[in-house]
Amino acid sequence: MGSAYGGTMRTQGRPSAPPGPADHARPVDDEPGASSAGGSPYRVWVEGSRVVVAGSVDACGADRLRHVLAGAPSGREVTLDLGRPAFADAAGCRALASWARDRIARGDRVALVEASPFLARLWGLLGYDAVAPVSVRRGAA
Amino acid sequence: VTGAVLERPGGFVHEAFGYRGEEEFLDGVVGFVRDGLTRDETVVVAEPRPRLDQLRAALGEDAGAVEFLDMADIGGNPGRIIAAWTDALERTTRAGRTLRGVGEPAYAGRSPAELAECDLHELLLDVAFDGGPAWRLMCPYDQQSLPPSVCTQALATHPYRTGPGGPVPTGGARADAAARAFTVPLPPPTDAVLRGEFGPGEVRTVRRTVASWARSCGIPAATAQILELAASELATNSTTHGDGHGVLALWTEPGAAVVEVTDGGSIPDPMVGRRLPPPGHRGGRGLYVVHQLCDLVQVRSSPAGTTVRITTWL
Repeated sequence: MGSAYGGTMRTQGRPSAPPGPADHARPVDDEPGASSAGGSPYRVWVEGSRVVVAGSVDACGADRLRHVLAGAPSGREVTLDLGRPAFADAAGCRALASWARDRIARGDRVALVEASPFLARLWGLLGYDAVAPVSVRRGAA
Repeated sequence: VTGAVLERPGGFVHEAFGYRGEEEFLDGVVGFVRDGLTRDETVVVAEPRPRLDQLRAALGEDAGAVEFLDMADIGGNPGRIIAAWTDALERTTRAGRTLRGVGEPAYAGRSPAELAECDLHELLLDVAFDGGPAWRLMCPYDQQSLPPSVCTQALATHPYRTGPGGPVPTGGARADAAARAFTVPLPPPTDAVLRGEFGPGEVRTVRRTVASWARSCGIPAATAQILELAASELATNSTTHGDGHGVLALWTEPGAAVVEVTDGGSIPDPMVGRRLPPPGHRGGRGLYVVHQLCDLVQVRSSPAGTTVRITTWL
């Protein structure tokens, strides 16, 4: 899974990836209004078969995140890169898990990678390892 | 009455076992555990140290057939214990077996706030497991080390007490006792409190406030991260339920840092946060995570409003 990307961080954090066919503008989403709420918003962008999430994956943006992820490019193999969220809560994880569940139900192979140990712990507590296990980023204590 | 003692009651049998000293503890619990093994039941013991090691040693070879859990791990926050027993019961039932448990949540050295939560936890055990598979749970109470009021109260939070020939009804633990205890307000803080109101759109502000306050209290980074998440979950609940507003209160006590969120919403189910909600269910995960991660979590709710108090031991 994750094909050539393996388990190491290769993303360059480019908000503007090469234009793709008729899907969302890239970055896929900069959550609107979040900065006025005083927090770092989440961001989602796509690099090949890799979907990268950054910022705050929390209840404030969970509903929009769900829509945005649903519109992410499809492929038989997709990797969700969790190396960049500054913060994630139960509602944010639920949005990610429901996306993973939908993709798996459609027959796609989903890999969730690069999570911090804390995010992986939260994911496990919420029972989402049964949906899709997350791998913790290398070198994390 | 004799018949009630000899005949095994059905359903969930939740019994208090008062003991004085190690010898009485071992006399009662070793017999209870061996009786379970004889009946080919799955025996799970959740005890604090040193009781855990004393029991393991006293059981000798039989200890190999028993699952031992450290109560300080699974139940440091008493609000986590029901999830642990739920897991044990599900595993046991799936395997086609009967569970027998020993659990001592109210152990010597607990703070008054923890003992108050043990009380509520004991009442909620019957809410959680009544009507489910039949199993027995013995709760030892150390009468030598605990305040006498705690041991007296145990007879009101357990439908049974352990008698010489088996469980004997206590006449306590009414069905509505848990729901009532859930509405009783927590004691107010005695020290200076930082307080601030928040509304919709300010959850992230609450989160950052708690994170920086936690650092200023000298709380280690990993624990501060947990408190940041907890504050976010509580503030999210306040802004999505009730009138959308809440009050954040922060204070320190000797040996503890406290984060509290209150709001005008009302939670009807005293079991909230004690078990992971099923996949399709929308709410309840935030409080569950908070219970699982924090040192002590106290939830109280009535039509007048809801309070969630998180204590972190320094």
